[in-house]
Amino acid sequence: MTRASDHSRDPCPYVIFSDLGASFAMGAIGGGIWYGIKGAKNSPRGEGLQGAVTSLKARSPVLGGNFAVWGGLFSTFDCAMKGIRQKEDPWNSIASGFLTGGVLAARGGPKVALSSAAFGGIFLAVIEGLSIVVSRAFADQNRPVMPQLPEVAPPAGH
Amino acid sequence: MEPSKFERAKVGAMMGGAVGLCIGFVIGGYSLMRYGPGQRGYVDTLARTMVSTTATFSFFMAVGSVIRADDEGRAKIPIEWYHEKDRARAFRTPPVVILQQLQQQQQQQ
Repeated sequence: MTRASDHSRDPCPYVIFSDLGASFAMGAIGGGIWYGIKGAKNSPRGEGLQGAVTSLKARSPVLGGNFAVWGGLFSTFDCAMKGIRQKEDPWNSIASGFLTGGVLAARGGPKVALSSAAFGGIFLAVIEGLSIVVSRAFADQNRPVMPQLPEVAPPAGH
Repeated sequence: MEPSKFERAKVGAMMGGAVGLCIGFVIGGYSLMRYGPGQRGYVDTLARTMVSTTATFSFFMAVGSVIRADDEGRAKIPIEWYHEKDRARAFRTPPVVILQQLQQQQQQQ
């Protein structure tokens, strides 16, 4: 995934906010469905809906918050990596995942932090590796084509 | 052709399933080495871990890819919020599209 040419994402410091919000929405919506089903399943017969709503209201904002912390911190580190290294490659996000995992578990002590950081790094490495594999696999199908530039006179006033 | 929401969810679920499979293999393998197989045996424990991580990841990735739309209707940070030096970087419309729009305008005139 080359993000340098990806204009659908906001540029760097601003992408932190949109990533944070998107992560929160992802966690809250996913958690809503997840805990809704779980609450309905764990309720006694006849009180499924109420149990679903109670569990959903209690848990899904928390999950959204957790996702948002992860996503926002990750995006912050990603932007910092881009700024420091002046490069955009998979190592940026792998390092960001490592750092995010480490920082979020920092209160558990160095051992816990290191294992959480390793998990974050592995997680992002898997995602980046898979996205490379997928883009290689589909590279033949949609090979980049030179866009045909329409012949246009420059707009007046320039 | 913009893919539909369901289409995007499907792609996200597939991608998440692949990620979850790998993660489940790594995490499950690690916990097998560390804590042993338990009562079910090596293969069954690993398979259970992998299946549950695959389900979790594909579910959340499906949700995430639906809400993360890249189309033009996507909610974006308003350009006025950008620092002045960043505004040039924030291409909202690819240059080719701008050229096409200009061409259409010229044809209409």
